[in-house]
Amino acid sequence: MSGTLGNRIPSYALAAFVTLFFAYLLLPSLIIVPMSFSGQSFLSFPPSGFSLRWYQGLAADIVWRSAAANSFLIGIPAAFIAVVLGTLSALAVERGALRWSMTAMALIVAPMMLPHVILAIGLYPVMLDLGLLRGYLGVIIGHAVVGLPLVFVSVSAALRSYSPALELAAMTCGASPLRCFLHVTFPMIRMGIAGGGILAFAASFDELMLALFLTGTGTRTLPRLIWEQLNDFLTPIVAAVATLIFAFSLLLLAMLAVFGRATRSMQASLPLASAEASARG
Amino acid sequence: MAEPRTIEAQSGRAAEEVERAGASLRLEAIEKRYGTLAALEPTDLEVRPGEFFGLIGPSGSGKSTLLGMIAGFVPPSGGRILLNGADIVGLPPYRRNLGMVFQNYALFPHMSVAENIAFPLRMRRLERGEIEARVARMLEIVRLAGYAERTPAQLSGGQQQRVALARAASYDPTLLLMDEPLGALDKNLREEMQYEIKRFHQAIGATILYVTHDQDEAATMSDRIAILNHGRVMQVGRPRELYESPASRFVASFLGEANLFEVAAVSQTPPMRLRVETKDGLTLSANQHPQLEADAIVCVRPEAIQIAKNAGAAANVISGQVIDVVYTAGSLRYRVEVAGGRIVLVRRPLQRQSTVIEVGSPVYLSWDVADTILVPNP
Repeated sequence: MSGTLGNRIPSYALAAFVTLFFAYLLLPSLIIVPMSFSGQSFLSFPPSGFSLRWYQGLAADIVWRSAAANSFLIGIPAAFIAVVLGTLSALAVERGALRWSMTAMALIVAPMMLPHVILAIGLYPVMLDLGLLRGYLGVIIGHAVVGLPLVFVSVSAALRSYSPALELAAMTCGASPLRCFLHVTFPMIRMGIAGGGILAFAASFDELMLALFLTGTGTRTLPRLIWEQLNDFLTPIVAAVATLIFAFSLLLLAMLAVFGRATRSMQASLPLASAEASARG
Repeated sequence: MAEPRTIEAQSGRAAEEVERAGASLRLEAIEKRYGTLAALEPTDLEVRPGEFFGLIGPSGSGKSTLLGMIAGFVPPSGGRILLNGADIVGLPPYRRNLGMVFQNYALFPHMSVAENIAFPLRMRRLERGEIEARVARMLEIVRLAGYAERTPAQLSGGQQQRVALARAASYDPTLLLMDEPLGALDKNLREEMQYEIKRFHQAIGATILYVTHDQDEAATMSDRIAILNHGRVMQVGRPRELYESPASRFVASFLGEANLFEVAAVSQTPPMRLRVETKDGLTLSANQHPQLEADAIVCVRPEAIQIAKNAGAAANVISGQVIDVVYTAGSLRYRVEVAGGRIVLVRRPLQRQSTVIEVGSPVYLSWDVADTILVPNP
């Protein structure tokens, strides 16, 4: 009767719950993997037979290959713009003496909360007027808006992880603002910048709504092509694409985890190492 | 055998370095306002070359604002800051050529100890050989010669602060600012580091402006102290002057402990004495005070008071009853109730033969005429 909550719940019940929870999170994504190796020529579950022909078809199909290329041609510049603007805005909000820093922060983060369809409908007539519709630049600009808050949040967290006194110290040491950034600020936040950049790229790589509104046949991205193919032909080739995107996303996640760990270990080593040092000294 | 030789080498260097004089610092009507709120009222202050100058006051007294203005982080609302006679108010922090030590060290965690100390030298584009020589010399001065390749995270708090000292002084600034540099250390280490910083001051010869809220620390280390309160300098002087002749009630109670009595009337009594009647109904005897205006209070330091069961023959004797007695490190602290229900604090050094007077005992408190300190109370 005197046990804690943890003691009173049988451990097998807890284990079962956790298993179910993760199954709920991951199974819908994983189901696509066996479907992509199906021997049948229509999308079905459970798949029957085994074949690699959908992957072969994918490799041979110029439409899929150009869509994949478009996803990178749009994602990389969009992530780059998001990194530059997101980092600058994080510096302004965290380190500048802005009178309206809370308002600025809310405005910068807003695209994260806003449904993409609203952004897409808003950008459509603007891009039309500018003649950027169906070209690369229009969707790159749109995706940069989506990625900017991700970089902003990531870099802001990095800036908040150390004392601004570091930059004051650099300045009293004779470092001009530029050299202070290059020698102190940038090394301290580069992991946050890299992490934010990966997130911004992944957001673009994944994005459908803006791609539907702003790209054309020559510039359509992988998500848009998947969407179109699902409407017309329901072949396992879509599952094969989805599996490849899934694998690529896992790779990005792994990169994020590595950057995250590198940042944390730099900060976490402080108390541990100083205890060690005093034991030695 | 190695130990005495290094000490000798260091003291030899110290003698040679002292010849290089520190900067003079002069503040003229410097002030800082945020809207209608004054963080620092117009202030004049003069710090002499090579001086160890303490700046103390409770939090919010304006001492950090003052330091920030000298460092260049806070633009003043008015006034001039003269470093060796030249106004530096218009200069950005990185052109002021002064050193600063921060409370939480502010070492660059991604650089080694040697790189941290070399940083200001690299910013000044010194030659590699010159940088290496200066880093080695600074490491020797702060006694961290074997630690050049460590990162700050691998050092203890005291060692990190020594690196911060070395970094701030590596380019021979003539003025060093220190903002509560020992604030993050525990008590024993603080005391050790106080000596370390004094020794460092002698070794480099720079003028040091040292901000702290700890009055004991300021009194131990400083040649002179300025006490700030509510954005105003209350008094400037040597620690002993401030303690023995405070110019205001605030200074009397901020620096050390004080029994303060409101004065009701003062009259002359020969020879050269004052008869002081307090509002508590006590009659005390004080020496003549040259510039005593209308209002005044009396300050008697707890350690100046003798406590005994018999009345002695001192100039000031009052009777009372012991309310409680507490042991603190090295001394006994009595609280004694005297006439009018007034509590008087008495501190006696604790010696092996000293007898403790029990709680409830009737006692006589006595002190010398010179220990009745009259303080102007505007």
